[in-house]
Amino acid sequence: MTAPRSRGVIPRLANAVGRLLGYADRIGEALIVLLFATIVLVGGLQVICRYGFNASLSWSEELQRYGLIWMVFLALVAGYRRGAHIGMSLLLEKLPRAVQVPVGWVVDLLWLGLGLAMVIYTAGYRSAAGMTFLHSVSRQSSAGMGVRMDLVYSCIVVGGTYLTLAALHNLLGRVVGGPPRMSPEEPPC
Amino acid sequence: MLITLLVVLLALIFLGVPVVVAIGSVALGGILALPELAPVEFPRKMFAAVDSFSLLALPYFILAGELMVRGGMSRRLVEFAETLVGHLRGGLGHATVLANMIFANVTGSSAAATSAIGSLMAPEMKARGYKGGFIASLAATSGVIGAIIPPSMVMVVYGAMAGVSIGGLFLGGILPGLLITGLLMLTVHLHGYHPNFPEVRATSGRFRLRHVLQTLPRVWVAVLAPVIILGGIMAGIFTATEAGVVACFYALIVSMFVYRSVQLRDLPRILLTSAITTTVVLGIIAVAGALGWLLTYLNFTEIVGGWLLGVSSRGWVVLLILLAMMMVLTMFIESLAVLIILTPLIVKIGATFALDPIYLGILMVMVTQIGATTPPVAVCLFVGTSIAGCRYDETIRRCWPFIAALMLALLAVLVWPPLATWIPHTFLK
Repeated sequence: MTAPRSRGVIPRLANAVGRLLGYADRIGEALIVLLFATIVLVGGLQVICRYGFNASLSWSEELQRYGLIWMVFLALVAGYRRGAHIGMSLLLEKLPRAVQVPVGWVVDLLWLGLGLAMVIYTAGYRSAAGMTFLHSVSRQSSAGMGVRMDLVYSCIVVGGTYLTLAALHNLLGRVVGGPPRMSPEEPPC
Repeated sequence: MLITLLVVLLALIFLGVPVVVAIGSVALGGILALPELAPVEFPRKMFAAVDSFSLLALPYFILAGELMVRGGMSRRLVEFAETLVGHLRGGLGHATVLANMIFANVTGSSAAATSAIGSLMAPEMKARGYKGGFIASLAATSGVIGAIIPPSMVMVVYGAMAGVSIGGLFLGGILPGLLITGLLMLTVHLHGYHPNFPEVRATSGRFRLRHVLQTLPRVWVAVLAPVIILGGIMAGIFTATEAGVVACFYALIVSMFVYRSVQLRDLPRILLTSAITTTVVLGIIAVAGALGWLLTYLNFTEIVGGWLLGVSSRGWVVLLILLAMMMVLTMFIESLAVLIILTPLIVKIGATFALDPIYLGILMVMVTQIGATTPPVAVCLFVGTSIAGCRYDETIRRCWPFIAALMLALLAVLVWPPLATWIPHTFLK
C-alpha cells in the first residue's frame, strides 16, 4: 500500500516505514521459502540415511526443528501481512462501521504490543542477574549441531522486529487514510 | 485473575480479533500483571511450544496436500468418483462424499477438503438443480472426512501436545472416517425420499466399468498415497513426521513428473503458501504455549478438572460432560483454539479414568471437527456457503441431517471404542 503523497510528518513516516517493510517482506519471504525447502530436503536426507544406509544423522532432527521455528516466527508476520490469521469475523461483519474501525485499531495495536514484547523480553529486558534472555543462553550450544543457542533464539527478535514494523505500517496507514486492505485466505482447519 | 483472563480472551475472540492475537495478548497481559512471573517466560514458552519434532509433521503434510491440489489431483478424483457412483440416485452427492474420502488420504484439513472438492462439485450440482444450502452442507460435512482419515492436522496438533502417538491417532482415524463416509452417503440417499428433493432422485447415466478403468490410471497416485503413508506407519517403518516428508517427495514427483502441472518455478509460491498455512496453526500453538503456562500457574486445569470430577465419579459421565462442553465451545469459538487450550484438561481426565489415549484423542478430534461444521461459528460451513454461492441461513436450514450423521458417527465411536483403537492396537506394538 502506498500512502498518498502529502506533506507532514506522519505521511512521510508512513512512507518510510512502508518502504522499509517492502524490503523486509522480500527478505522475509525469501527466507521462509529457503528455510522450508531446507527442512524438507534435510528431512528427506534423514529418511534416506536411516532406511537406505542404516545410519542415523545426529544433526538432522535438530536442524528441522530449529528451521521450522525460524520459519514460524517469520511466516507469522507474512500471514499477518496477508490477513491469513483465523478469527471470527461473523459477528464483526454484522456490527456497524463505528465498531469495526476501533476493533481494527485494537487488533493492530495488539499486534504491535506482541511484536515489541517479543523483541524487548528476549533481547532488551534484563533479569535480576543483569542479563538479557539472549545473553543468558549465549554460552549454551545445541545438542546436535553445536550451534550457539542465542543464534537459535534470535528468531524471536527478528520476527518481533518484522512484526513491529508491519504493525506500525498498518497503524500509520490507518492514520493517513483508512484501514489497510488485505486479501483473506482460507482458514486451515 | 483466572476469570478475568478467560473473559477478556472470549471477548477478544468474539470481537473478531484473530485467535493468535487474542491468546497472545491475554498471555502477555497476564504474565506482566503478575509481578512474581518473569516476563522472559513469554518468548521462552512461545519458542518451547513449537520446538517439537512431532509438530514437523504439520508443515510436511500441508506442503504435500498443497502440491497435490496444485497438481490437479482433486479434479481427477472428482471425475473418478463420478464414474463410480454417478449412476446411483443422488449420484453427484455420493460422488462428493466419495471424492472427499479419497482426497482425505492426501489432505489433513477439513476446510481445505471442503474447498478443494466442494468447489469442483458445486457448479455441477447447481446445474442439476441441487439446492444451495444442501450443496454447502454436503461439501462442508464431507470435508470433515479430510481431517479424520489420515493424515490429519488436528491429530498432529493434539498428539504433539497431549503426548499421544500421532501414528496411532492416524491409524485410529481410518474406521471412523469410513463410518462417516457411509453415514453421509446414507444421508444423501435418504434425502432422495423426501418430496422437497426431487433433484436428489435423479441419476446421471449408467455404471460403466470401462469408464472406471479409463479414469483409474489418472487417480492411481492418490490411491497409492495411503499405501505408502499408512503402510509405512503400520509396519513401524516411519514416524508420522517421516511419513510427512515421504508424502512431500511423493507429491512433488507426482505433480511435477506424472501430472506435469507443477513446474520448478511454481515451487517458491507453493512453499510460501504452505508455510503461512502452517504458521496460522503453529502461531496459535506458540502463544497458547505461553497462555498454557500461565493457566497452569493459576491452577486452571486443577480447578476445572476438579469441578468436572466432582460432578460424578463415573468415567463415562465425566467424558460425556467433557464432550458436551467441547461441542458447545467449538460451536462458538474457533475449534482448534478450544482443543489447544483444553488439551491439558483432556489429558488429566483421561489419566484419571485410565481412558485409552487414542480412543480419547479420536473422540476429541471428531468433536472439534463437528464443532467446525455446526452453526453459528463453523469454518467449514462458511467455506461451503461461499462455494455454493447461497446465503448462510439457507445453509443453516439444510445442514442438520448431515450434522446428525456426524453425531451418529461420534456416538458409535463413543460406545464402541474398538472403532478407534482396533487398528492402532493391532499394528502398533
